[in-house]
Amino acid sequence: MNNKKALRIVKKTPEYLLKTLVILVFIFPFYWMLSTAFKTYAEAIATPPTLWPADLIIENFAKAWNSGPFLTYTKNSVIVTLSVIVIQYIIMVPAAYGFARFNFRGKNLLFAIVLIAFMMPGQIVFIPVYLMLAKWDLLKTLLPQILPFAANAFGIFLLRQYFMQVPEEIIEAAKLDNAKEHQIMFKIMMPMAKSAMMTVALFSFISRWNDYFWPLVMTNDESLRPLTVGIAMLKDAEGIVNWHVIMAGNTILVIPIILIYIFASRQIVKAFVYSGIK
Amino acid sequence: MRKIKKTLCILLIATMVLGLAACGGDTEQPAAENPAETENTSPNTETSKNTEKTVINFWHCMGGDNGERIERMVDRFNKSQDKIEVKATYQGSYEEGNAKLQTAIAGGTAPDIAQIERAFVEPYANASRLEDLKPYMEKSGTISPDDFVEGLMGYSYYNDDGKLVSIPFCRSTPIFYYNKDAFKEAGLDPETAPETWEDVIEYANKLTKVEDGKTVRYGYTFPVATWYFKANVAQLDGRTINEDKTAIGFYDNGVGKKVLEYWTGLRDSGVYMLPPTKDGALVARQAFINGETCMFEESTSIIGTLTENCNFELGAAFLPYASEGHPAMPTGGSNIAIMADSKNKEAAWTFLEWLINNPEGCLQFVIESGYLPFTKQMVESPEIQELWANNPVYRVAYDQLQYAVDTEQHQYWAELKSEILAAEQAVMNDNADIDKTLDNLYSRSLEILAQ
Repeated sequence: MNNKKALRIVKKTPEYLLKTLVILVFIFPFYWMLSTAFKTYAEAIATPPTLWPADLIIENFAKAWNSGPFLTYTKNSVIVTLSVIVIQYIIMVPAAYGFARFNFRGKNLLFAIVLIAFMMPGQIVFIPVYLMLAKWDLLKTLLPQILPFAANAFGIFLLRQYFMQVPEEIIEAAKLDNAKEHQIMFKIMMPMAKSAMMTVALFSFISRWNDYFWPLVMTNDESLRPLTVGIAMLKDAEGIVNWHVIMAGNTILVIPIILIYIFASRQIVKAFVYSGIK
Repeated sequence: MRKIKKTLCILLIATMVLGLAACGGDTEQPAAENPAETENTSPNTETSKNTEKTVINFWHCMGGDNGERIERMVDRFNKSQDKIEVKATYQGSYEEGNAKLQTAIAGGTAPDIAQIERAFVEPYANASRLEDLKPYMEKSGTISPDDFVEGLMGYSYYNDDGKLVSIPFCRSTPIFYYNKDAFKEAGLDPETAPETWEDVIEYANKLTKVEDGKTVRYGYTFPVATWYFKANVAQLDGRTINEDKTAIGFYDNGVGKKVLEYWTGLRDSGVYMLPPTKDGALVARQAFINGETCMFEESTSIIGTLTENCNFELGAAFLPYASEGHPAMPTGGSNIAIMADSKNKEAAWTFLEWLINNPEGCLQFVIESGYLPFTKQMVESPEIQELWANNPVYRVAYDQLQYAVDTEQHQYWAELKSEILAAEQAVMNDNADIDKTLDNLYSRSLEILAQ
C-alpha cells in the first residue's frame, strides 16, 4: 500500500514539475510587470534585479495616470470595446445562424468570403480603410476604431460550428410549438452556444482593448485615443525609458482583462472542451 | 470543392490587388485636387469657432519626459499670443510617426508641421511634400539659413535647387563618456580622456578588473549599432554611402574591414563588454551607470540621465579615432518641417519662427531635454552658456559638432541600414568572416541603392 502511494507520487512528480514550470512561464512576466510598477527608476534598472521592490512606490501609478488625459483614454477604450462586442453580436449571431441552418444559392461562396476576411491581416487593409474613412469624414469620431471590426469572421465561423451541432429534434420541437425563426435563434440557439459566445466576446475584448497599431493609425487627436496609445506615449523615443512608470501604466491596462478572465474562465474552458469532444 | 478553391483564390487576389490599387491611386493624386475632400477632412483648415484662432496641427514623436517638455513648449506659445492655436499630438515612435505621416498625406489629413526622423526626410523632400523654408526666412528677416549650426544641417537641403525643407530639432550625436572615479582608481588622469583607438585599448586594459577568472568590470563598451560604425568609418575618410550613391562607401577603400577588425580585436581582448543585440544601448547604458564598464559611447541625448543617475564623476570627450585618421562622427535625432499641403503655412511659420528665435521656445526645450542647441543665437545665449559652465559635458557635445559628417542621405537608407546592422552583428555576435560579410554587404548595397 505504502509502496503504491510512493510510486504514485514519483509518477506524478514530473507532471507537477511541468505544471509549475508552465505556470511560472506565464505568471512571471505579469509578476515582473507588477513588481516593476512599484519600484523606483534606479531599482527598476538595477543589476542584479530585485524580485521584490525595496519600497512600494505608489506614485508611479499617479505619474502614469497624470501624464495625459487618461480618463479620456479609458473612456474611449471602454466605448470602443463595448460597441465592437455589441455590434459583433448583432451581426454575428444571425450570420452564423443563416450559414448553419439554411441552404441558399451562393452560401458556400459567401462563407468563403467570410473565411477570407478571417485571414486578412489589418496591416494589409489599413491604408485603403484609412483613405475611405477620411473621405467619409469619420476620422474625427470613434467610428474608425469600431466599424472595421463590426463583423467578426472568426466569431461567425465558431458560432456556425456550434449552431450546426444543435440537434435537429430540438428545432423541430420548437417549430411544432409555432416558434418563429428569431425565437429559435435567440431563445434556443444562443443559450446553447453560451460558452462559445463568451469565448468570442472575450477574444474580441482582448484584441480591441489591447490593440495599438490600428487606433494609432486611425486617430490624429488625443481625445479619440484609447489607453494603449496613451501608455505607449510614456516611452521616450531616444532618452531614458521610465520602465517603472510604463509598467504602472501597463498594470492599469491589463486589470480589466484579468478581472474579466477570472469571471469568464470557466465558460471559456467549457467552450474549448466541448468543441474538442464533438 | 475545386471550384470553391478557385473562387477563393480569385477573391483573395482580387482583394489584395484592389487594396494595393486603392493606396497607389490615391497617393499619386494630391488630396488638394479635391476641394470637397480637404474641406471635410483636413484638420489644416480647421478653425475653432469660438475664438476664430487658426489651428496648427503639429505631429511629434516624443514620448515620456520629452513629450511633456514639448507639450509645455507648445503651451507657452499658445499663451504668448491669441491668433494661433498649436495642437501638438504624439504619433508614436519615429518609425510609426513616419508610417502615419505617409498614410495621412495620402488621406489628405496631414498636419501642418511634423517632426521627422532625419533619415526619413529625403523621401518626403523628393516627393515635394515639404515646404521650402528659405522664402519664409527671407521675408521675416529674423533668421537666416546661415544662423543654423552647420554640423546639424546634413538633412536640410534637398532637391536640385537646394530647397531648405527641414531644420534641426531634436538632434544629438554620439559622444564618449567615462567614469572619472574609476580613472583615478586605476591611476589614470581623470582629466585626460583617450584620444585614439590605441589609447582606448590601453586605458581599457588598465580599467578592466578580473576576479577569479571572471570579469567584474569592463574597460569599454559601445552598442553594436550603425551609428558607431559610421563614426569609425568617417574617421578613416570612408563614407557610409559613396559619393555616387551607388554602394556603400567603405568597401573598396578597405575602411570597413579596418573598422570591423578593430571591433573584433576589442571584443577578443576581453576588455570590451559586448552588449546584446536586443536593447544593446540600454544594456550598455545601465552597465555604465552601475559601474560595470568605465568608458562607453552613447547619444548626447542622455547626458541628463547620466548626470542624474551616476554615483561617480562623469567625464565626456570626443569619440576616439584611429591614429591614422581624424576625429569624426555622425549626427542623429530628428528635424522639423512644414508640410507642403498645409493650408496655414504662414501661421505654421509663425510658430516655427517662435520655436527658433524665442528663448521660451526650443532654447528652453533644448536646456530641459539635453538635445543640441541648433542655432548660433541659441549657442551664444546666456542660458546655454550657463548650462555649459555648470555641466561641461554639454559643451563637449556641442564642440564635437565641428567634426560632424553625415554621408548616408538616400531614399533607401532605412533598408541599407538594417543590412549594415545585420553585417555588424554577424561579425561581432556570430563571428562571421569579415571579408565575406563585407562582400555580401557590398553586393546587397548595390541592389538596394539601384532601386
